[in-house]
Amino acid sequence: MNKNLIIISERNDKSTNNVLEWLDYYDIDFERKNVDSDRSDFCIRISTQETTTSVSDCIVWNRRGYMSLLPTHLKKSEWIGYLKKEQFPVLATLEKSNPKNYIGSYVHELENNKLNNLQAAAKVGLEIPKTIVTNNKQDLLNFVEVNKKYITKSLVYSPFLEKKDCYYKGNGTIVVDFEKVSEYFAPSLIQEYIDKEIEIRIFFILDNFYAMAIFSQNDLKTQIDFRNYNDVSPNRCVPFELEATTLAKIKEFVSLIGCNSGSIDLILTPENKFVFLEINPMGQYHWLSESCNYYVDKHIAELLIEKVVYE
Amino acid sequence: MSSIKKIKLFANCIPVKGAERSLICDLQRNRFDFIPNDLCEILILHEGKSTTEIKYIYKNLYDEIIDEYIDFLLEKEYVFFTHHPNWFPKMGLQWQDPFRINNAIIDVGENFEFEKILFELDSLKCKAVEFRFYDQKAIKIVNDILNYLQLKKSIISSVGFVLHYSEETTEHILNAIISNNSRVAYFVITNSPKNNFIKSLSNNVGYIIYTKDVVNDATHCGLITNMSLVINTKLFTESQHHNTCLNRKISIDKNGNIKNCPSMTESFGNIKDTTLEEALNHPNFKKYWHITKDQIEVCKDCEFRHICTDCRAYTENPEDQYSKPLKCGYDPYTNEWEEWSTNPLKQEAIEYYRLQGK
Repeated sequence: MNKNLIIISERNDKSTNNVLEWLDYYDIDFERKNVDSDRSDFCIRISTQETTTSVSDCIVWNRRGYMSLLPTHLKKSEWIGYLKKEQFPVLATLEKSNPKNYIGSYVHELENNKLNNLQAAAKVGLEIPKTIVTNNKQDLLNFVEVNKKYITKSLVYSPFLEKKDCYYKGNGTIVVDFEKVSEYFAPSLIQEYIDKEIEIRIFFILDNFYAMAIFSQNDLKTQIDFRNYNDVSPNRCVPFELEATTLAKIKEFVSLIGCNSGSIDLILTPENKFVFLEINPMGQYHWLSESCNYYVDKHIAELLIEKVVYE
Repeated sequence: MSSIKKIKLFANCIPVKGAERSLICDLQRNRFDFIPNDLCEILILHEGKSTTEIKYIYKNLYDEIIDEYIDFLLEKEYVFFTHHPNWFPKMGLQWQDPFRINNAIIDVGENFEFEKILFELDSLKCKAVEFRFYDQKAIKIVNDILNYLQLKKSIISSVGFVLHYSEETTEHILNAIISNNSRVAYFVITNSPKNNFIKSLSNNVGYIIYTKDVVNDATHCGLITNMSLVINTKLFTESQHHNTCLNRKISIDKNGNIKNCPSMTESFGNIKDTTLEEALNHPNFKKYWHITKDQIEVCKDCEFRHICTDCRAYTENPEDQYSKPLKCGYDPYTNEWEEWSTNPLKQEAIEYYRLQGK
């Protein structure tokens, strides 16, 4: 008998819709739980023999967000901050109760610590940018070399500032201007700027790896961060074939940090070295799939079906 | 050896060779450029080699021309140089779609039962539908259709309307419909006093085209001009495997006959007594779906063949399903666009289809 297939996502996620259309094409039943609208009933039983949960026997694709376990009336409660915190260990247990058949991970998304990832990448032999995390200018100046450029980006969370009538959100990378750095500051990650020949975006899910080359260097707007899109003449994005040794290291890396799906950013330097930048456990792949005509949606549907039918 | 960089096309810039000249189709930026056939040959045969190697292959007789070509390709960002050409594979040209039918044309006639038709299209999961009206009382039906789709939460997510110009088709009225219905992709208003294009009010909603073209029945369709070319990955890849007009299409003409296209004669039953599903399962229903431009006479020599939407309803030789679209005025052997309807060689077919004066 087929296993139940649960898909956790957001209401308006286009990639989810695309995958579901393929599941429908293959006539496979599924249950979609939208984290922004549906409450999910669940249960965890712990005993001396074993721990069983509502998802231990299912195939789960956690595409976006996390299962909402709170009743609607509590979502506006002033206790919401506390209740959400209490929810996280539950989510972690649900995910861990079924590691082989739980694809994607909100826990990873939440705890996506760039420091751990950099260490893991270095451990498997991937090149990484020289990195420092500090809260004072003296240590920073001892670290930097003259005539080199340095960048800073967030450690885990995207910067977010909420004001009465507006908010500021940033998720990019900026070049450090040492003249503006104060003596003491909040703990910050600073990395050597890596010259790029091209940027490589890799999406992976289970054993399927898809790579795309982004030619961001012909355009001043996108040199530091390709997310500063140029809509008139978009960066060239084309299929890329990772050579076997780099691909093997990437596979070792994702298995070391225990991630079974996500997006990885690499840089190919003018000296033809691949440098690991970061991994996003719930990264978008639509852009990569469309640009390279990869049909990732269809492949995801097929690998879910394989699990539903044969596991 | 590897210190010399090799030339490589960006994988979404694809050369297409024609009889007398070629195109580079830029599927990412949705544009194309004409290139001479000898440059097309260089790109097809010698991509992945260095400039020096390529010049040597041509016995160093054309060094200056080759330099000019490469300057052009670099300036347009069609190529780059790399030490590792094998890291940059060609883009796969597969085309796949999860729906058995993905577009429909419905001509609205006198006994139009829209609920029945929409119900069946919904069961087939057909996401894009175009409705064409040939008389002036249309807006009420347009609203009925849209209300029904909303009420039923239909999978039909993109609806286009072709209407006659009337006092009901003002920009104000149409935009009011568009802003209430995210399903509306476009209005095309024919028989208009002037041509006009009204942009979408915001992203993801419909636009309006007013056109002076006179449209009184399905015989207006099938026109191929340099304005109807479509440059994107979807059409380019579909064109490698399928017919770019009829693949996954179902139509109903104004008399209720279920067809591949309302302009064609072959009917697979009438909607009164045949379901769309039954018509789709008819052994002949899909016979045009696999006719590609590479198989069609003349088109197979045309540089525009993979950015063209084809027409199988009106062909130069009505007896031959591999014959060139009648209403295409382009000649790939002279590279000239001419008026199709006055071409003396097409008069017999024009008479056959009774297209005189249309």
